[in-house]
Amino acid sequence: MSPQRKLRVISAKPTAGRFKIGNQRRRIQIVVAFVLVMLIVVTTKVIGLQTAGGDAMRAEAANQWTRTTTVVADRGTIFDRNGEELAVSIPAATISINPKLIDNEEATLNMLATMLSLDVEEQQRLYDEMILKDKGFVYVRRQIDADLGEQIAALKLSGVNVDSEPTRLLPGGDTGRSVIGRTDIDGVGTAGLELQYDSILSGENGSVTRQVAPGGRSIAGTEDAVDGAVPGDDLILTIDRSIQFTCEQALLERVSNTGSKAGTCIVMDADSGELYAMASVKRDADTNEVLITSGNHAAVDSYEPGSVAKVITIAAGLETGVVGPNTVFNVPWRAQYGDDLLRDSHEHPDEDMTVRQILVESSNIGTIKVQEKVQLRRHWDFMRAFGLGEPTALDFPGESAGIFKEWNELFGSEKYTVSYGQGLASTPIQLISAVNAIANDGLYVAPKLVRGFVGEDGEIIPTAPSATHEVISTNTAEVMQSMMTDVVCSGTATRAQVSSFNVAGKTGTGLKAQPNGGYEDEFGVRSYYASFVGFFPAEDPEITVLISIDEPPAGTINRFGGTAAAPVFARLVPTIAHELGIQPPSTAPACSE
Amino acid sequence: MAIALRKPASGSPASRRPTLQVVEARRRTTRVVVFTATLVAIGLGTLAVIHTQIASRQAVIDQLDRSIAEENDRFDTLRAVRAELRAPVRLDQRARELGMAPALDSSFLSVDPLVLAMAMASTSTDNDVADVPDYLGPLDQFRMVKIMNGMD
Repeated sequence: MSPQRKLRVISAKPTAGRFKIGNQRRRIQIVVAFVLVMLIVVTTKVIGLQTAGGDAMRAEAANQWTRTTTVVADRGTIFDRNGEELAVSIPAATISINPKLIDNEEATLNMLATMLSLDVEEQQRLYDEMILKDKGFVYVRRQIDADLGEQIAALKLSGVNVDSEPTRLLPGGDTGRSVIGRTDIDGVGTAGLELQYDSILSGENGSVTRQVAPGGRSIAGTEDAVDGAVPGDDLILTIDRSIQFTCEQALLERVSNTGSKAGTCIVMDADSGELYAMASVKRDADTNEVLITSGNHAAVDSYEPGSVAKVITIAAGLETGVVGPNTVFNVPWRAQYGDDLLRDSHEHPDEDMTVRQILVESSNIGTIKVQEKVQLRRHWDFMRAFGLGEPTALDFPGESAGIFKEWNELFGSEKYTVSYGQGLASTPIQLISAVNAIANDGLYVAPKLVRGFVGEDGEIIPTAPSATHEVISTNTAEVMQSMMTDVVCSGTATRAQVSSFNVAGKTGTGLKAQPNGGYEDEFGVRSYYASFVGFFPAEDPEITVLISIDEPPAGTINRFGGTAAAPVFARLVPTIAHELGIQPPSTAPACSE
Repeated sequence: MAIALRKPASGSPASRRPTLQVVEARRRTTRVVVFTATLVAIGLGTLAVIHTQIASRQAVIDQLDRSIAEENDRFDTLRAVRAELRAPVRLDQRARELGMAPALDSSFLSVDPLVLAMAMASTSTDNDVADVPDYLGPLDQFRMVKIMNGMD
């Protein structure tokens, strides 16, 4: 049936007037063509917008009705070795205004001024911004107490924003500040470990995108698009907060009492190289007050190590076999080397001294005689093996390599003075690491400040053990330990003695180079750098400690390493032993024998 | 015997079109439309209920997220306060306020192991004796919270 009907319909069309039908067709064709052209134009435009220029247009559109706020990631915590917090980020609030949205400038300003205790200048600045209304965002106060922020938010002041912005806190005050460093107000590490591990501590910021009406107000009922922030990882240091505090207090007291310029204290585990403390204090030039520094002078500054370097020369002599501890040299109190007349610290007749005596009495001339036996090139190799001349594995920001010339660049008396620590410079961390190689039975172990990290999943990721290399044999190290025990018992470091423990160590009294290039200033006054590096228990060393006092008063008894620095060591040992549970040996102290 | 005979069709085919069939078709369409409309209405109603439920649950989840964030903030604040209280600098200051002074010297004493054992047993300072649970330090507590936060 239907084909017939179709046939009937089709056959019916030609019955109409041909001219009229032709016109309709053309009109329809024209309309269809027009519609097609328009469709193609629109489609082309749509395709163009969706592809080539799509992203930009979408972004522009989104900008008109959405506002994205950055969610600052929580900065990782810095713990000490016992899990005590050294640096934490705590919730805080930041107050800002959008002057364009403020209805009542005077009332808003009065309220903010009252609650935030704004001074007159701050009030004037804010008032000007409120009146000008040319900015959409102006900070009022950053990182204020979170509770106060909540109180301000509860007021629902038009044009006043309260955002969460964590602030960095050192719960222990300045304890460990030299090592931890600091962050700026944006939470970015600018010094110390905060800078060194900034990428690990800072995490990844997130964002919240909310739909807003014209004028910036949030549209009620719309959902926020949240891209969560990823908190930073946490650091676990090798530092022991109690030992760090004790070091700092001892330095503050010593530098203050002696009228010195600055001081440094490092406490190191002899086996692992882990640092229990790394403290720096300095006298403020303006106030004359001695303060814990924000700079880590133990790693950043370098000085002539003075007589502490003699342990390297003597160890080199013993290790190469050119001398033994009882090898005798005839030692005058002064002698000509190169263009200079070099001398011991005090006048004495020519005397026969064993190598042991040379170390115990810290004879410069005697040490030169040992170095001559070793020969400069080999001595230089030993100094490098002990870690001088290159930054340590700490890789601390701004860490110094010291000043250490190639052996063939040394000239004149420098070739000899390096044997007793003049003509080169080392950082305190280099120096303690070098002496610790003797305490560690001849094995150099790189210093270490970070034990591990706490990952996002809460698991502890330990750092790799410190790199080690053998510098001298165990036998040589044991002989050196014995000789250094004598230094404390009967030599220059008797003030480092501690009841119950045998202590070994070496004093150093270096001269500081003056701006004129010499060792004396325009008034003929010398500046000293007094230090003591010791370890205990001497029978089986566990802990190595360096104390240095910068510029102790010249012309007084306190200018020497044995008088300025060694007493600080003696004061620290009981506390360190107590904190770390180090038991004194059952045998009587060697010095009492 | 009479036999029923079918009357031959008369008139045009159009006049013989059964009108009942049209009525039949309209009823079916109406039913289909009503049924479909009912289905759509029920579907939309169900969707509305589900959407409401989802929105309601989402609100609860958002509230819980806010609570977690607030508790995390509170945890951070409290552990900072605890760290300040445990800081050596505060303990030192407080000790001095109480009239204490740093020891000028210290000495180690030897204790008879039997006396030590008796003292530990009587004062319950040994965990095995007193069954004292291990103390959870600040780092361990922090790690536990971090592990829980990571279990999204």
